Amino acid sequence: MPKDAFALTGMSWRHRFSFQRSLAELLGKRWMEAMVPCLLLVSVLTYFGVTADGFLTLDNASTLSQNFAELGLVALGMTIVLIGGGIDLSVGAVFGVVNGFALIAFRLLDWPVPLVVAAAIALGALLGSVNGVLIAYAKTRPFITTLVTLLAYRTVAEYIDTMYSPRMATTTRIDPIWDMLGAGRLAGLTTQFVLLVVVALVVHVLLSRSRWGWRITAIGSSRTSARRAGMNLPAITFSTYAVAGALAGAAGLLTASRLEQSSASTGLGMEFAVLTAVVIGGVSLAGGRGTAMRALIGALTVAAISQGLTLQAQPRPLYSAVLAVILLVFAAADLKWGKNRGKAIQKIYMAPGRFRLRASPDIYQQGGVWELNDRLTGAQAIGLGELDGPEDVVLDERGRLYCGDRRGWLWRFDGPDSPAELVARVGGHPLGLVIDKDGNIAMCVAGMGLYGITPEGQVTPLATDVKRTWYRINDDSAIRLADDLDVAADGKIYFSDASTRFDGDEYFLDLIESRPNGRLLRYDPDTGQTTVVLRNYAFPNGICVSHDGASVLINSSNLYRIDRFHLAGPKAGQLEPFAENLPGIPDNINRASDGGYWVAFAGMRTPVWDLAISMPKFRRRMVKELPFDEWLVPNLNTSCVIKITEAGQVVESLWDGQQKDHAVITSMREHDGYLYLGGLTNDRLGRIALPQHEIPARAGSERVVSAP
Amino acid sequence: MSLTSELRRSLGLAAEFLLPSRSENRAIPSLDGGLAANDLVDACQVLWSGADAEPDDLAVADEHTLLFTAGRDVLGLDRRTGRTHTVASLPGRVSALAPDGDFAVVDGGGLYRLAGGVAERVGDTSFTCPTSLVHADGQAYLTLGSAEFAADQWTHDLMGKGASGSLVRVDLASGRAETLAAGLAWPAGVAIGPDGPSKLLVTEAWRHRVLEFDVTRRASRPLLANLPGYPWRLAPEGNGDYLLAFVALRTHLVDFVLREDYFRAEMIRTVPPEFWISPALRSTGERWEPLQIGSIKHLNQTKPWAPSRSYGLLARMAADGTFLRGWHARAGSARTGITAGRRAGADIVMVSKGGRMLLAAEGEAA
Repeated sequence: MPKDAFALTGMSWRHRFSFQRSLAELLGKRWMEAMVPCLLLVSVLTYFGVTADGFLTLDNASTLSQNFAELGLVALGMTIVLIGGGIDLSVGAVFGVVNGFALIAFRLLDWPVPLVVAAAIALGALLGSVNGVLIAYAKTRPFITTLVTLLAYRTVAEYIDTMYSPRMATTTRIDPIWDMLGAGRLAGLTTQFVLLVVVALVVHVLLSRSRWGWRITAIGSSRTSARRAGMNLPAITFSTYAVAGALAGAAGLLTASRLEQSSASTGLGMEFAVLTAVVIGGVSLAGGRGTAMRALIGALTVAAISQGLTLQAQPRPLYSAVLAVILLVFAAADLKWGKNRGKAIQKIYMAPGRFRLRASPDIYQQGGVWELNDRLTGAQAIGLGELDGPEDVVLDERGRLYCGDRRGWLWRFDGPDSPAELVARVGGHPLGLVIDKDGNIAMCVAGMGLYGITPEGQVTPLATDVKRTWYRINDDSAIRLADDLDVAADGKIYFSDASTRFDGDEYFLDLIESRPNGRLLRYDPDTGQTTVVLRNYAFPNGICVSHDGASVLINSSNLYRIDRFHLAGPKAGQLEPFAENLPGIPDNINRASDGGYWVAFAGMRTPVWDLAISMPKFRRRMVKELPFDEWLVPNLNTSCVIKITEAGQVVESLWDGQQKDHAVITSMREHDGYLYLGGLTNDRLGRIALPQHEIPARAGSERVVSAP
Repeated sequence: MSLTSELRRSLGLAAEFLLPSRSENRAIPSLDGGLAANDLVDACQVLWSGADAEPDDLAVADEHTLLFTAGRDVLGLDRRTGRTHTVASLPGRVSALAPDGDFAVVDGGGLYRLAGGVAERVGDTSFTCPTSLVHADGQAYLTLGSAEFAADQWTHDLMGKGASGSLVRVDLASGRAETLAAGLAWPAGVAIGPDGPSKLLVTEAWRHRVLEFDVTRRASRPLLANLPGYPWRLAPEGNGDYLLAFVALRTHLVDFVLREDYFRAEMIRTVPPEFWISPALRSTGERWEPLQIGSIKHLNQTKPWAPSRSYGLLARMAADGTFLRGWHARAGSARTGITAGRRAGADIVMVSKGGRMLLAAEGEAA
């Protein structure tokens, strides 16, 4: 289990939760779109369960399931057509025609039942095909075409009704399969319902897993793109109408077998109920969006409303009125939500939190350790004109320098005066770097993870994800902001993942959000596994294994503190404060040759920034009301390097009093009496000579005490 | 943060959503047309610069002699020799100078006549926070920025949402002072209008506008509103145009903080004024200075469009309020905080209070 570092923020447990954050993350989930129809369904069922007598009986459940099945089959057909970017208004009429036809074939013509079934479905498909041919090949408009066929098929249904109803009323025929279809049970469920489930599964698989289904979605999303991708538009469009007709026919057949009668009003207004059903389910009228399951949720809602109103003996027009209102609301919501979902999430994704911080130390105190000086002024520039954003710098055994670049490159310099040489193109901005005796580099790459690179420039990913936390709404498996790393005595690499919510170039957002979103990770080179060691840590940045190898030091850029995480000894696994309440933003930390540590301040806390940190609502309004470039941040234009002892005592600070050359210092590395400076947005590396008294005989940033 | 303030905020948002045209216009106009940004102030010639003294107001005695205020002194600069001499040393900080240099006002003190090499007090009225001064027909017109703060505490008045400034007339013969208008939000500059002394132009800095004040009717109407910066002193150029200085530009952040009453109160209470979120005469790069994302240096460069606490802008304005030309010192410039500008012969001279210098745009007079 990873250790929880939330307590460092000084906030109580309830600040772990944020309604706004959860909402934003939930809205980002695709499955959330089904939540509104589900809620509507539950409320409809609850309402009628309470108000309609006999709604919650088994009897009613079976009737409901039969109605649902017939409506559902038609809805599935409609869904396929809608996803393909069309619309079929004639489904109700097809339903009516096939209903009448099936009864004639069964009662009057005495066809065997399997033939009746096959013929009914085939007739439905044929009627649908007429739509298909007109729309797909004759290029007529779907709406007007199916409106015309609706009227035509409706006439046929009325003709059948007038010609054959009297004769059918006087004949009877008993057939076991027919009864099975109409009133039978399979495993305790009505046949119709079982059939619907089977058909729905098939449609679901076809739509979501088959080439045909994908092509329908592609055409519905963008006809132009689909055509340019070489799809056969007419054939696929035709097939959607044929399938819709066949499904409407199947529904008509089921109704025929159940009710044993036909009337002129069978299927009248069904297209309206079906459209309402699929729109409630969230199938977009604009095409390209919808699933079989969501069509069924809508169909069940509509069936339940119909059934409930019937039980309450409400007049039939009320049913139409209710459906009309629901259709209007959902169609409008469909349009608005589809257009604005992304914007809504973006508006609320960042949910500023709070940290309890002590007042910053007074850096203006005369003679204090924070007093401005010129010790970094005039540092020798390395790579000026070549580099863009060398966040970290590292030196190998031969004294060659390596540094990253914002453009996703890794540079090498044979010496401070040598020209820059491109080692590798990594693809992301390399941040923290470490190097072993063979010259292999391990580095943290923003937005990508932990990568290894050989001296020849061969790049291999070491860790790009970890196991997902099961209770987090947001998928936190990706390593989004790997920042700095160090290698422990046992060869394991400890590295920071500064934020699980924001990517590398969005680090401002994490700063402004001020929640403990980061974690400390451990990569085991023997197994290739990466585990979370520390979670809920506020912007872990620099990582450094202590001189004795028994602990690792972690910089928290958001909490202005450094913590010691024990790896060995009696306190193994414990987190302990190392330096607290610093006046700046600690970025990287590295070992110094005198047994202490160098820490870079990427910027300074400012009094107004500290005030803003204590007011999350202020920051929330700020990010909503102001353009990005106007947001308040800490003073990231002033930087320094500090020396801190093994006991966590700050002993000196090194500044560029002129603030000319190193606007930001994010890292420093000591090597042979020199200190090298890197900066996330700088155009150079810096190099200054350290005073003689600071350099012991053997000088470097290796651990003073070598590990067992 | 109380419940009622939250409620009021929500209602305000709802009202703004329903009646957008009736809501407060929060947009800051962009610098375009005659105000299009440039770096002309950085191209100006430096006439004078002082390490300690901050020049503030400016007067033109003749083509070769400029007068300006610096602390307690009124200094004279001979442009031919480049030498300065002290015209007068007054008993307090001089915060306004008449266009010809004949009169000066001391902050918290009185009005002085400087003609003839001696300073002679006019009347016995003391003025709090005088910001500018003109005189015509034996009358002097004075703007008093605030009733609470001294002139160099202008950020206190701005961040405190002050509106206690006034326009005062002083009879130069009798020394009697009379308030013509009160309740102004930091009137920072006054000039004789294009139609003569019966109509004055007065800048109202915190309300970002220029007023036309009818002296006889004692009524004003806005000539220009919703300016992109804080209008400061203004001076006629002699041909109908005016030179209007802006001490700083408005930024979204400052306007936002002005709406955030709780944050503002806490900031004023706990943070030293030089580190407030507020406009400033100069950006010092101090470690505790507030910073905005757009101002973060990249490759050691400050972007010229960066939202900046300090800015320098002198604009030429036609009598009808149209901007014709601007001289800008943008983010990262050392010549920010332009507090006054005047025509001197063929040149436009200006004071960069933030840069502690006098500058000349040579041959730029229209």
